[in-house]
Amino acid sequence: MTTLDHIEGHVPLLHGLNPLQRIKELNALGRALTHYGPADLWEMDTASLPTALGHLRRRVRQFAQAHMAPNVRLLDEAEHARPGTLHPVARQLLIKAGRAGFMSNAVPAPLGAASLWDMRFSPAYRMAIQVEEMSAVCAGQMLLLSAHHLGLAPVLLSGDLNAMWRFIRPMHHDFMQGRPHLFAYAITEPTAGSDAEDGHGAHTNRPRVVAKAVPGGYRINGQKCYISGGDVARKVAVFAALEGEGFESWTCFMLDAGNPGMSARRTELKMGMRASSAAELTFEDAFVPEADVIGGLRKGWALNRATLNASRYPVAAMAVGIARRACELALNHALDTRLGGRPLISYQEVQLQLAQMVAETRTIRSLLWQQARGSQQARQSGACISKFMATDRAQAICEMGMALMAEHGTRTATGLEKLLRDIRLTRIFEGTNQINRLGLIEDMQTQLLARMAGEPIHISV
Amino acid sequence: MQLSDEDIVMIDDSLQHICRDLAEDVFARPEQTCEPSRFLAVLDLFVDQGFVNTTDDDGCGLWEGCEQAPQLALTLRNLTTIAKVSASLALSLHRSALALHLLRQLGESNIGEAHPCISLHGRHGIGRGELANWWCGQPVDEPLLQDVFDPDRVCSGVMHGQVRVLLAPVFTAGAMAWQLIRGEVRGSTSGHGLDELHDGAFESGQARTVQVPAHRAKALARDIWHREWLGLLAIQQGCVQQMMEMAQQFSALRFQGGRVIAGHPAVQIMLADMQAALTDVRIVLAGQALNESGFVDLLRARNRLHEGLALAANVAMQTFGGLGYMRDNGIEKRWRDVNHLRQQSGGALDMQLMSANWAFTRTTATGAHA
Repeated sequence: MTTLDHIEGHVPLLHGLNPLQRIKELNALGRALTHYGPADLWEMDTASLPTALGHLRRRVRQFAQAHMAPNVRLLDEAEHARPGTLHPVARQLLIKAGRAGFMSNAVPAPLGAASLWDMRFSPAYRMAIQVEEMSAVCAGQMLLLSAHHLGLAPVLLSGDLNAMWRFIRPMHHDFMQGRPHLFAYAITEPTAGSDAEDGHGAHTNRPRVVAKAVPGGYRINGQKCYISGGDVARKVAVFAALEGEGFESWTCFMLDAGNPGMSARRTELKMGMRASSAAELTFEDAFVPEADVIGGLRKGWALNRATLNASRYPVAAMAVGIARRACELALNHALDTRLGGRPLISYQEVQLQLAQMVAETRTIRSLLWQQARGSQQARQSGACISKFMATDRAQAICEMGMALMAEHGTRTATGLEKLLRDIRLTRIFEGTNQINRLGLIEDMQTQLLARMAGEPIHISV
Repeated sequence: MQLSDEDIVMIDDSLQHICRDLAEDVFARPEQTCEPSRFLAVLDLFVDQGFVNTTDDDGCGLWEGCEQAPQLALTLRNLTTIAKVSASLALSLHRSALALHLLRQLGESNIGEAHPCISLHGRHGIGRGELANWWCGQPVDEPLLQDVFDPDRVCSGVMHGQVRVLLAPVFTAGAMAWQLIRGEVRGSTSGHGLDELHDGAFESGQARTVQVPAHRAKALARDIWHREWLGLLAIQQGCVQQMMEMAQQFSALRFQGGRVIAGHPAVQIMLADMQAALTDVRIVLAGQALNESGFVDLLRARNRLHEGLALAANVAMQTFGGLGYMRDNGIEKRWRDVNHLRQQSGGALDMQLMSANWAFTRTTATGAHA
């Protein structure tokens, strides 16, 4: 192995014009004000986090490397699984993640794996940290693990301690014992995609999944689609309108996988994130007892929107993780490939491309962390901005990586083309990025209307 | 062969007819990759119909008589039409026809293979911007071009599994020659898109270098790359055109927010972006004739056009929402194909430098630089 002292176009590390070298020569106070070590950027960001979150970041990274990295291609290329079945490797992953506490750490003890002290940081913030690390290894496996938290969210956000005790505690217990106990979140209907995530759209649409009151509970009929993990979940949070009413009456019902009225007849053939299924769920007179209504009747719309306000942060984190992986692959390619007798990284255009990729990745991470830090009462605008900016830019970063690798980038073996397939989904789910942009304006509506009504207020962003 | 207007109409009709049948039969299920034997049978059908001329006689196949503007336009239109059905098919036919054209130029047309292929990248891309320097007669980083187009490299490319003859450029001693390689694809490795094709190494059984007289070498190489870039652009145009038609149909049917989504500015803007990208490509392709300014225009415009088409493919998928992401819908396959095609025969970084070097050498030559 040859030891190089510099990258083409830059002075050697020990050169008299190397800034790191020269800063060391300042006096003690000067060094204290200016000196920094050569730690990598991931380490630097980790160190900038509160200790507990830094620790979480390191733990998840280690877990993802140990248990997810070996199976990336296996699960991406595996034959399409029948609805309701899990690849044995995916099942093992769920068991390991459950035992490690990653399936229930959005919730504090005794209901979940987090400590009360962890609750200083919002679940959305902590999940964002967790999801980036998993996505940076495999977004498909990450989705298998993370869509579950979406299913838990309405129970948590309902503020109903009884429901938390009944549904979340057994889930946590099962996972810690090595028994997968997944939740899923079912809002999308074949005729209501964006309308299930936008008030104006919902106002003009007619819900097709309907709950009819019957003695002791409700009977649900209709169909939901694109439900992540919906075919393998033990519990599905199903949002249905009350008979004869619109989306305003949406109510969250918790259905057990064993419910004879609920079936997963097909799962989608997705382009990417193939380690996680997207199921079509059919409800035929599915009976739900009154006790399994989450948060009360007609509280579903509020729970749905509050859930999305929290869950869009982890979606942004998926994008950061995928973008980061694209940077890592491109960097490795630039270091390991030689062209004209020189490593690819010695060419200035390659350095410029890499710099842009790294800068954009760190920009969207900064945005996400800054927005997620204040997400104890997650605000729609912050969630929407994080989601659409991070996912849009992350795709651009993946495309830059592919361009840097030239024709090598399209080959499956390099891993980059999978990133491009995976990232594309994040611009569509949890509300298309168009809906998220409109969500930002919706969130500013109170101020905007006041200004339009002539109130002397200055609107600033 | 000079084609009359009637000939062109007849060829157009014939192609439309074949493509309609293929779309309803062989390529009707986007989630299922076409079987290799069936794919080969379709290629043979196009050869039988004269779209790829494997004989020494004049014909009206792809890339024949393209010194004439109407015939160039016909080739590009045909590739676009075929790509609307299958980009893999269009690319295979394009590269077969281009390889045959090159073989004729090299005086090697009698190779006995109906489906030769050509690969125009080297070990990594096309050598930064050095080809532009070489074409312009400027000083060249020869070690770099020799490394990229090393005769001993393992050649690779995107091709169907039955390719037995591959043509590839080699650069030695300041000159470009062409290697005629007999062999077969190594394994069968998949890529991001173009599902029916292998993306990887071509195992050389026997390779022979065909030299080109110095006075013809540059012009010939430039002509080949020019046709390749035009062909790739025409194929991407076909993919995106098909995506746009699908998106237009869907957006006129799908209800959201109380009306069909085509009534929402968010979707109207996306449809307009698709149209704008296609218009840009159409304008550039329409202005192309195989002369120097056509080549340079294309060299400079290629990155922007690719970006526009990639954006168009993205917004087409976005129009469909979740449905666009599913393999049985057909949008995602074309999206992958567009991404894949834009990396071929010179990616974005190489093209940037090609364009920069071309501009630099020209300004230097005219004294403007000084």
